[in-house]
Amino acid sequence: MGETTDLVIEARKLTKIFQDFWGRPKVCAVNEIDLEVRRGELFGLLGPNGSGKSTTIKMILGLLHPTTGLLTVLGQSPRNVAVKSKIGFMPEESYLYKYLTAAEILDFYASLYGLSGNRKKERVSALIAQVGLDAARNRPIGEFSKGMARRVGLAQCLLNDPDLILLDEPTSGLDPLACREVKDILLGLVRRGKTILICSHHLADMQDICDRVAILMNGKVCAEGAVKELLINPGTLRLSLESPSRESLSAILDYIEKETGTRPLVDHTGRTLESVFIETVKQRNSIP
Amino acid sequence: MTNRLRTFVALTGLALSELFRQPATLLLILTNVVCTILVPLAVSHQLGQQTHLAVDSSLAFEFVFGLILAGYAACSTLHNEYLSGTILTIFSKPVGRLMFFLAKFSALAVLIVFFVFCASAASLLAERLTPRNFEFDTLGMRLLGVSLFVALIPAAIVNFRTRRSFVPYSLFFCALMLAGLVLILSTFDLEGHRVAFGSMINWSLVPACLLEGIALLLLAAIAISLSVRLAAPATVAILLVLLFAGLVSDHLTGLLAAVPQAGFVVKMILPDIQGFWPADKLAGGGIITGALIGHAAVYAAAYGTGVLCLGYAAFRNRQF
Repeated sequence: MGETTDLVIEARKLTKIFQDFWGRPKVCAVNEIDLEVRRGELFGLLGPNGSGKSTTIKMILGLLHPTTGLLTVLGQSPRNVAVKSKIGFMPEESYLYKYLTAAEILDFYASLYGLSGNRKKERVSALIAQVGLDAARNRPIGEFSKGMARRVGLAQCLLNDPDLILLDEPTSGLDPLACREVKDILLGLVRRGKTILICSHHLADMQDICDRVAILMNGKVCAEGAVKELLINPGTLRLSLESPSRESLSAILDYIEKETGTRPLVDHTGRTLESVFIETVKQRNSIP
Repeated sequence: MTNRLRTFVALTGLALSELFRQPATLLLILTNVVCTILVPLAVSHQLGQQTHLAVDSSLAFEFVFGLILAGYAACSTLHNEYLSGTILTIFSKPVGRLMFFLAKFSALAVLIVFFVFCASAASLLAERLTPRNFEFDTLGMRLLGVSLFVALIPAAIVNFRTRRSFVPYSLFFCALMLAGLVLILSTFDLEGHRVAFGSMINWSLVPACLLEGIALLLLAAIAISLSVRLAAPATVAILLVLLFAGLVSDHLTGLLAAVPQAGFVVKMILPDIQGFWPADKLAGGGIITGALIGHAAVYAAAYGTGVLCLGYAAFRNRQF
């Protein structure tokens, strides 16, 4: 993930104020935020409900118009229709036509990108397989679980092989296994040079995959930076050892205590619940 | 096919499939057919009136049901996209708002044309089935009852076997049956004897229904423009007000004779629905001429284009 200065999304003092019927200001959803998303990075927009994440994404898509400030997406105004052929968007809810099957809906969205014939068929089939819906491709979306509908949402977002991918709560409603699969897909896309902006309040997921994050609160950016840097606690260090003998451990601890004046804490490195769950499910599935 | 045309066809196709699978569409079209055929039958039997009752009521039903259908369908295809959130996904793709708006109107126009086709067939059947001198067309009534029932069977079979929606197939088969029934009854008299094709059908109703169809397309343009901001009840209510105000627009302008400017404004704003009302023109054996239809079509195209421009102006800056 080579860092470049190539800006895919640039927002300067971006503000969105919702107005009432008479044009009076009602809510300031986004308040003078500055944002830079670079090519090839996986950027996370974090924040509690109502912090302005979805409003920001909608402005990036040109669905909402900024009240003030500057916003460019891939070097152009987000209201430019042509720029959307390079963008993929997965909304927070699976806003899909429930009476269509997974294959039909992807076929429809592919037509909106101008795909046709065999190219369209191949793209649709490949994406259905990629999101693991081969067996359900001819079932109406209305019969899908939330997680399955999210997979269709992800597939439609990748139809045009976009340069910029905007995801609003992509892992919401997914089981941990599907969640891991989606995260792997996203990491694969970033490896291919795609830029991804994710909105979420699932912090563990964001920590797993994001290069940089911005934390929004009441429409303002409260913190921004590389995930690794934000997570560092500068006052402490962690030393991991692979099963040292009791004697060696005791000697190391004595040495550290002698040098620093404090006795270090010792415990076992833990696994995450996610890794335990995935391992268990995979083991169960492998039993005939 | 260029990319833009492909996108337009995809949007129109989806909007059409959505409109034709709405149970309300089936209900409104079938109710119009049933009312058009049965109401004059009952009324003329009671009052001993002749066929002009059938003509008047069938044309009135076409107007009212067509208007409700236009209002409901416009909101179901455009306004419901906001409510369901699907418009977010559509506009995240390279789809222009003008194209989307026109695709929705095109789909609505196709639905209205389909409705006018069914309503025209029903009007022809109503005129034929209305008792003359208290003599019922038993052959026609039997065939009608059987065919409407039979039309729903293949749709049910398709639904049972393929799990595809019942509504679009039942609409298709009903339209087919109505057209078939008109053709069959065109070749038989009331006793079931073969006659010269078409001699038992009042074909002058076809241009009358066509004239009303043009008015319904104009109302559909108003409906789709209103649905940019309003939900179905408000849209249908405004359409009804416009229909009745349009029908009495001459009277309204007469009332405002003292203030010519106000009369001019009213005449410009209100659609001239009176010009599309064919019953008066058919009374006393009159006919709807091609010139009249042409004049009405030009007026509807001009008025409809103006309304669509206003609707698009409201839609262009709509935020989601």
